Amino acid sequence: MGALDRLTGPLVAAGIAAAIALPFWAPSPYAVYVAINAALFTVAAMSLNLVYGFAGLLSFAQLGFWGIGAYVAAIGVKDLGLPIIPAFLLAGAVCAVVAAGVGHAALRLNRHSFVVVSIAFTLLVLTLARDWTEVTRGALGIPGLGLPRPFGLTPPGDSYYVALAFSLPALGLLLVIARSRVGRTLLAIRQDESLARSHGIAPRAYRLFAFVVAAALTGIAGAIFVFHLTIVDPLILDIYYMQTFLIMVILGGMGSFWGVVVAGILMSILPEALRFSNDLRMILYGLLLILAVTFMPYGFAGWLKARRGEVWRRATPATRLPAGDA
Amino acid sequence: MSAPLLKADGLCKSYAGVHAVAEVSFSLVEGTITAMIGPNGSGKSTTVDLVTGFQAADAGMVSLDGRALTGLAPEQIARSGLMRTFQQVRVYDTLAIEENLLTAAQETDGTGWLDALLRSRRFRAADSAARARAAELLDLVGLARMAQAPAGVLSYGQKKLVALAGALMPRPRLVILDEPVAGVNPTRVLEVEAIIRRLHQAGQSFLIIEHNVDFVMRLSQRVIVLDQGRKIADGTPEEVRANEAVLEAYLGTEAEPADA
Amino acid sequence: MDAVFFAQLLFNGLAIGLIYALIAVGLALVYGVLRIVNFAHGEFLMLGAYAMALVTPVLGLLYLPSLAVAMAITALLGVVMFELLFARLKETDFERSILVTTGLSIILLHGVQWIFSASGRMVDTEFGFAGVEIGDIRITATRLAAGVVALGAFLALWLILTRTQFGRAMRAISQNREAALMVGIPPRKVARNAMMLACGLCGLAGAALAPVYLVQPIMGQALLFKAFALVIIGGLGHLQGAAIAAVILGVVESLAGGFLTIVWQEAIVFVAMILVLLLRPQGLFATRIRVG
Ligand SMILES: Nc1ncnc2c1ncn2[C@@H]1O[C@H](COP(=O)(O)OP(=O)(O)OP(=O)(O)O)[C@@H](O)[C@H]1O
Ligand SMILES: [Mg+2]
Repeated sequence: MGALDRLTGPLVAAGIAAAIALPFWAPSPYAVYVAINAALFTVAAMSLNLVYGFAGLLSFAQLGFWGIGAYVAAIGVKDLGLPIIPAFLLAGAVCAVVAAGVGHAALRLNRHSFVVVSIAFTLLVLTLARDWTEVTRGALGIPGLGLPRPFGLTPPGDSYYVALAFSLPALGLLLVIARSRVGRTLLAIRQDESLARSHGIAPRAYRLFAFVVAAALTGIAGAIFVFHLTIVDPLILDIYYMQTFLIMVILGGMGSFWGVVVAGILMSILPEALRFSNDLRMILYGLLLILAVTFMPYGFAGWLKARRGEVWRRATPATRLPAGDA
Repeated sequence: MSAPLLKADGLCKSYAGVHAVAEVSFSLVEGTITAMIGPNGSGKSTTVDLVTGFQAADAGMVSLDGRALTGLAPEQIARSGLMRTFQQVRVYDTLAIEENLLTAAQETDGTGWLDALLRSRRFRAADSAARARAAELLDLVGLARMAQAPAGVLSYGQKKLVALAGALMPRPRLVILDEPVAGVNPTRVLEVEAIIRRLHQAGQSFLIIEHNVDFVMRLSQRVIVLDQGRKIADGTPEEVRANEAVLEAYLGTEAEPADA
Repeated sequence: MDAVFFAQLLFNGLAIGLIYALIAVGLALVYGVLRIVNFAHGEFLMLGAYAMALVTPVLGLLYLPSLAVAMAITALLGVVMFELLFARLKETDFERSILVTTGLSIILLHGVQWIFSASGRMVDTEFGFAGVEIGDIRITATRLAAGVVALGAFLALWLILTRTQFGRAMRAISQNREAALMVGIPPRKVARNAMMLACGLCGLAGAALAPVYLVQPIMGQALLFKAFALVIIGGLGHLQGAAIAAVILGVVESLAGGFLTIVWQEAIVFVAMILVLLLRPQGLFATRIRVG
């Protein structure tokens, strides 16, 4: 339709090519380090987008899954002696199973209760991380983690490719879901649950699907993230991560795929590029969050879409019903 | 006489002592247009909710084609071939008008989630059939040119037409319309009337809730009248027009004295 | 078991429990009247503590005047935040309200951290490290003062909610919004009052905690999550439930701290919350503000 739509294909191809070549054109190893964060955070933000932007569930449980995935993979490698890839897959599987159980119960509740239960769930995960010392080693955490180095590149080049090897397919999967009838149905449910039910749609099944997929992907992202950090401790459950994912979703646009991808990448890179202190960056995030929620509730992508809607509004004055001219 | 398409038996619903619907029973014949009228607050919308599963009845039974619907969830009832629209117009604002219609038919087109995610051959066949059906309905309601516009940009009356077209998408056994022309201006009422007539001629069965008495008297073969949650009349438009209880309860409160 | 040791733990627990109660009650009040889960509530506690830290030296270490000033500052901030942010939110904007208060929490926390750094500071008052002896039990004066102040605040809150026009209006709105609006209770004004009261109480709690705990930017966040749990246990919007749960928690935590390993002390509240969620999820949202 619009120029932007026609450009999406080439833009995405160029973006993927640039991402794959990044370690060879990045100005410094630090830039590659930032790119690893960008890749993993974008997947986590997009998963949250599937749950909140599409399915309409403001789920703080995403932070819990980020942490569960991190711990399961670390314990899998350190204590169970698993190779790293199976450990990551185990992390995703555990998150999916836990999400199925939690979601099955929590999705019976109303919106308010769901939010609170999702917070409670994450607080419980945090408590376990801190206090179940036999398994999680408490506040000390599990150190000595590391990603494989198949290519022997300058660090963190190899870690970057591990992150990318997960992030690109994960985003691909999320794109397929978002663009499919399932994605459209989730949007429909978020907008009007009663109408959806009158159309034969069972909201709970769709929402559970979104909840489980998002949990699994976030869990694996969290796992790779802590192996990249080389240690997992209760700080992986810091509310900071949840806030960051949320802001990416809100600014990018709830229910928009490319909006959130762009926001995820930009918001990982920009603060680093601007050399903001962490506090200043968070203050800025907080301001942006409030401004966006107040003035641009569907983010940048939503704003673009609204402008397209305007085109239609002008094209056909709503006061005339075009029934007669058929 | 053939078995009824829809049968409601002894439906009851009260809110904190208010009998919104009390012992309402009726049955609908396939291929007809039946109207349900009654003053404000007489229990019409509540009856629709009870029949379509959006509210649980305190008592009573509902069946469609002889199959019990009682206790089923709204989505299950919709899938069994009973579609409805809402009195407060509802559409998916950010979805395109065509997508609004496709969403209304997707659950009964024989394809599953995996089909949809993988775009299987079965899915593509069902999808193009649904698109054809949507095009046909949009043509009928005169919104074909707007098919790709987000439904949010439409006017109130146009949204009502999208909701109507949505309910018709899966070729349901019965469509219940809750006030399809409320708040719609008189010339357009005639257009909606023509649309419903066309669909009826093609064999579609309707139950229409309306306040616009002239509209339903012209369209329907049968009229059910509710007042204060009770059914007070049930018959042909002529019979209902002559019914004293109706004149008193309904026309007496709504319109000017009917003896003019 | 040593009876004196036990009694000492009990007293400490009661004092801290009362402080928890002040925080939880404010959270419950804001939910009851505004239908907003205020994620920035903990930051008002932190602001109260910082206000105390800044004001005490100026007022010559006098305890009560400093406390009053700190409370006034947070109450005023509450009103400002209400007018700036909360007044725009509609009742149906539940998720949006969470996002807005999350943003506010981020700004306040990192703003303070930016200005005062993340490290903690101690607050000295006229009491210093003096202790009070009751029989064989010794309790620090600041802790005792915190408990007494909290008790006084509860008494005042109870009087406000039951005896004053504006307290009764709050209860009316939280109990039956439509009916309250119908009889002409101005929702915006009542909501503003509720925010003022809740933030003032929370700031008071922070100010009373300041001489007892280390004052740090993140102190509010840790306590906020505890308060969430308490509010859930007590029944959201249920002031009394939250307050009772808070006092019990303070005591249990204190006793557990005396006899169990430190780590499990922190877990108690969340385990209790999960049990409540499992056992009576339907009782989660008793939306009324009940005080009697
Ligand atoms: N959720 C509810 N809670 C309490 N009372 C209700 C509720 N829904 C409906 N009622 C009451 O039930 C009665 C029937 O309402 P209903 O909406 O079915 O009437 P209606 O015939 O559709 O009216 P209208 O023509 O205005 O649409 C009314 O008295 C109404 O006030
Ligand atoms: Mg009605």
